[in-house]
Amino acid sequence: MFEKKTKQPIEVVDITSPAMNSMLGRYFIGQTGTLNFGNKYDAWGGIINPNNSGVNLYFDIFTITNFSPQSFTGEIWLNARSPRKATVSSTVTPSNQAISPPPRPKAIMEYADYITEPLTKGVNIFGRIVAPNSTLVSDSHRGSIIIAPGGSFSILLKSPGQQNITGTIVLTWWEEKIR
Amino acid sequence: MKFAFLKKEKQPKEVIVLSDAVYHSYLGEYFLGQTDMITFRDSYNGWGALINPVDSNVNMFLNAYTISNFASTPLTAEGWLSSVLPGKAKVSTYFAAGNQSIAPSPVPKVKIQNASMVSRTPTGGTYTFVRRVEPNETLTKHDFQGMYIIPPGSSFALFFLSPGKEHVQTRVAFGWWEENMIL
Repeated sequence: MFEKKTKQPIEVVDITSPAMNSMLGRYFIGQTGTLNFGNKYDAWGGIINPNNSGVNLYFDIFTITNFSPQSFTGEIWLNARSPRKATVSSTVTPSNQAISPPPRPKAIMEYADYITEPLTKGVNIFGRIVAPNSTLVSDSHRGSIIIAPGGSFSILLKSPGQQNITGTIVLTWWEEKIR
Repeated sequence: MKFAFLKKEKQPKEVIVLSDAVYHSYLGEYFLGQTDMITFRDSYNGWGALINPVDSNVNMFLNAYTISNFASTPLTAEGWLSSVLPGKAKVSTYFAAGNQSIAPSPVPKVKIQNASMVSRTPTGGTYTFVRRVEPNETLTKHDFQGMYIIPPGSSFALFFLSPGKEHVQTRVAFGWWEENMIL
């Protein structure tokens, strides 16, 4: 404490981008319905940024739950097109439940199971093996993956063989207006 | 986020902290991608690597790697820095900029490559670390935050030792950013 006052460090409160965006009501959590796949059928879930949304999506965390005694692979895709039979998920909510009325995301969460056709467009940037009877939780990407209007972030659950598999996907993200 | 019980001069400022990786993604300099499937068996090995070309004019900062072991036996992965890798390399097309809101999409200078069924081992460079990977598992190592810095003409490689008779399939993924070199 012999340093001059000007040399003293200043105290700051360290807020992460996800926490900041949650305070602002811009952070959302979406879960797919139960996904049934296996025996040559795949399943899929993702968030789509509509063309006219006016926001970018900052992707944070995914989780993949495997309710089955068999491991499978989840493929992470950027900007893939939704499968034809995709349905819209209703289990999407802001992480900040203190705002009334609750903010609604511009992004749309969709999912599909028992799909046979491969994904079109987009790129498969990495994959994860999901262990039996477990939930894989990704590290926080803290917005390093940014999805523009017309793009998407999605996960394809690959059939591992003959068995029937049950799984679900959870995705979290925040939205910022495009300046 | 109020500190009403503190005197005004004691109220700390609130700051948003971005990690270096996120900051470089905002700048369009952060990339993610994976190798093609790497296969080997018997006395043959395989590898997956990030290779920074001699003329890239960027330094590569590694943030993350993952190894997916699709085999039913454990695998040994050796981490090699700046070595010369054996066999016929395949250049991956499975990559993208983390920031997809920039048009046209930024293209990385660093290449993701892999080789299957190679008979020799890396030469030169340094065998830096080793990882044992369980069967049917994805090993993830995140948040290096640029600890490994790879200059032009250098590489970060994961070299896989064949466990024996079994036909092994594995795949490697990377997250990294690139910074222009100051000339």
